Amino acid sequence: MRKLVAALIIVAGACAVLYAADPGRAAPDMPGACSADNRTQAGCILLSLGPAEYDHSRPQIVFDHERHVRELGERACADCHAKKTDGTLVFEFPKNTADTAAPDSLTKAWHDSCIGCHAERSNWGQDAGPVTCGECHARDRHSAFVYAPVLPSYYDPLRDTYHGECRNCHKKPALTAENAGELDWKKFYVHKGEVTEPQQLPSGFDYHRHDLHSRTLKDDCGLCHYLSPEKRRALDHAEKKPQCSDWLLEPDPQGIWREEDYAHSRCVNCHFTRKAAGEEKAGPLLCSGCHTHDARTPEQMKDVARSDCEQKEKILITSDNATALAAVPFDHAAHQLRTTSCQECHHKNMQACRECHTPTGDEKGEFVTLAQAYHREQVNRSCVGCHAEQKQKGECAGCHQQLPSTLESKSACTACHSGSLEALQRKRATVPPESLMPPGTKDSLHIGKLGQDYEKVDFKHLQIAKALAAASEKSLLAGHFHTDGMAMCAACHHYSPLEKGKPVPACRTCHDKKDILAAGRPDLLGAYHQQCLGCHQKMGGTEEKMPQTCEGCHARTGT
Amino acid sequence: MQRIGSLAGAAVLSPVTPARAGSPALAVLVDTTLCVGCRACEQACNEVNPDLPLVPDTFFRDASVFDRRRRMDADAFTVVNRYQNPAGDPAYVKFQCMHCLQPACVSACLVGALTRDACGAVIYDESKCIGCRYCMAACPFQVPAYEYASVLTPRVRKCTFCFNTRLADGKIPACVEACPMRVMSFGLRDELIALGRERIRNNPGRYEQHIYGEHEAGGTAWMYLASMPFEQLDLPRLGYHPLPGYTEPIQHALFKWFLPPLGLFAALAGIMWFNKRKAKQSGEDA
Repeated sequence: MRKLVAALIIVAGACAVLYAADPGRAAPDMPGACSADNRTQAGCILLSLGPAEYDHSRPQIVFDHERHVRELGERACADCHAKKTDGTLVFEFPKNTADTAAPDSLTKAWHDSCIGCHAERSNWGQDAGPVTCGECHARDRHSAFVYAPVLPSYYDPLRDTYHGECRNCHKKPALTAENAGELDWKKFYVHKGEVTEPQQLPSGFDYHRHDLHSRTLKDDCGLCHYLSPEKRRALDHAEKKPQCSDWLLEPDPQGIWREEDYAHSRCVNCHFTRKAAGEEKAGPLLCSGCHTHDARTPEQMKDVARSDCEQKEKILITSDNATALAAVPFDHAAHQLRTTSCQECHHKNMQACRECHTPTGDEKGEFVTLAQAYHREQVNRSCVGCHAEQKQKGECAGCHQQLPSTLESKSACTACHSGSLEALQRKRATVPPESLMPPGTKDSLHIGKLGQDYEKVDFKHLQIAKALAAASEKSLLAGHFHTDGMAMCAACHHYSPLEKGKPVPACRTCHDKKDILAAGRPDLLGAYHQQCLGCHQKMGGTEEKMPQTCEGCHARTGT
Repeated sequence: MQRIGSLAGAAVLSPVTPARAGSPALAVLVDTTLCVGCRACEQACNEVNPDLPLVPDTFFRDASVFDRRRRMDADAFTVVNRYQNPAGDPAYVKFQCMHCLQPACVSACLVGALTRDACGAVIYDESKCIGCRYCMAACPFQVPAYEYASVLTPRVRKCTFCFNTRLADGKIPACVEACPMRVMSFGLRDELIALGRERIRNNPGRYEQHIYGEHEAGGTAWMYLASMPFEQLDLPRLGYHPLPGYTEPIQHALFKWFLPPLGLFAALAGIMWFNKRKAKQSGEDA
């Protein structure tokens, strides 16, 4: 009997251990804690498990930093972070990373730091965190699969189409995986394990906060920014005051600006010291104090003073290359009003783009050439990239999703490269859409019955043209680039030459009525639906104005 | 038969022939970024298959079905589910049999009730089926459904690619024709892969840079384009190796020319004969 009881106890104990270690089972979440749904919130940090191709037996952890600070208090910072002799903290974790090159040693350091502290606290009878594997490495709580090729840095979607050109060299796996060696394209398709990066919330150091800091700190730029030693010497020698462009964001001009190290060690330590000195407005210490969700929009900061760097209001961006396109007139002041911080464009320092991005590209500019710096569509700090992002907005996206991307359209180059500052003064003449159409165009067009289930459509051509013209007029960006009224016709009447007052080819010219996919083009029925409904969905208007249901445009047959 | 040939150019209809990637098979490319979730495909599928239960018109206009993830069942060969893309907009995905180039269900079927026609359709013959449901276990997309409600004559149910109902008459599948957004493009597989790549190339940023089904599980006839990771759209991450490729070498090696079983029987017979002789000898000795 005693044996039976002992066996039962052992089995029960084993079950309890397995249950606790089960990755699928997670401790009940605190409200506001990091979880799969809100891992984007401030204070959720994804702990890396080493290289992505490393075979991880346990999922990654989303570490709830905010919760640790809230529960342990600010004084406990030094429990996790190293304290320097001058009392400032080094915001790296874990404290004692003896040999970070070896993944095992880092793993051990993490486990020792976390579990050690949890175990110690629980020994003292305090509230403690988990000590079993599955409670931190919880699969369903924090992670999901990510299915994406890890593209090499030299990959450029504009130039290479992944499945076309890449595989010319990186052969298909089924054919030559064994002897492909370094060129095995499977290497780019690594299984990233359960990696879902919590999005880095921007700290939101916008014009407003910069203004606040410079007023509080009495324009002492040196408290946050650095001068390179050479610069300091040169300025001292000339007895000059440093200018905006002299200041660096980071102490080491050669170093890569790693925001987390730089900002945390400067900002948080400064807030700490000021609070210790008893200042009332010492600045936030919690993650969510700086990393706020509700970022200010440029419109909200209209009246906030922009940093005075003695910048010109209007610049003509020229090129040294004699054969290059005409210069680009650039309204710096207008762009300042429509951004939230200088760093949206000046991402590393306050110098002009060409200071780092040379025409041919070199190490200083991370081999991004000057042309790329202005034209890369994939990054939003380039001209083209930011304008492309603006076109994703509802009122623009309706038309622009149907149009080729900026760099592929024919008139793209001269729209910016106009050669003189006068282009910035360009006043738009409001053109009534009726005047652009060929005489005799009906206000409302009838689209005949194409299927059996629905009646014909009464298409309000003029009303739509007027609405689009009005939307374009409202926006300064649109106004600058929609130089002639016909631009508003181009999204629907795509691929056809547009001339004022001249008739355009009808949709059915190219979109066949019967053949569903003639030459890769949708048929007439598909073309109407894709264009009308696609635009309505993107613009997201009311059902009455921009119907998204079948009956919104055409009645059902027999009703 | 002849008419499908003319419809699809080089597609040849012949009894089961081993399929290979790149063969002139018919296929469908589903551009999920275009789908608006109108469910006209579901309705068309229901109408074209007379043995599916009659569903009222209003059901297909009921958007509340999107509140939960549905699966194909004995009453529906195709379903549309709603997901959310990172921008917060709804993304709709149509599911049906993927009509693999090297189908696991065909490999698993003991009696040959499931076959893959050279035109690309994986077809089911209920007269041969014994109801073992191995196909349901084998399918990596969990497509085949079973008529559990039918007591006497339950069948395995799945999308037919409109093989008998429409393809044989030279028509395109009903769902493809019904779709008002032309989400689906029907044609030769190679051409559709080219079309898919062209769309990805011409619309930077719009698509995930991958055609799902081009290589998954050795390639499927139904392929997908999407604006977000395919796993988030319930299209499972599969290897590129055809699934029958894992099991068939073992089975085929075991039973090649029936030699291993014959060898086993021969060895057993030898042992028996040896033992018998020993017993006889010892008997004689005694």
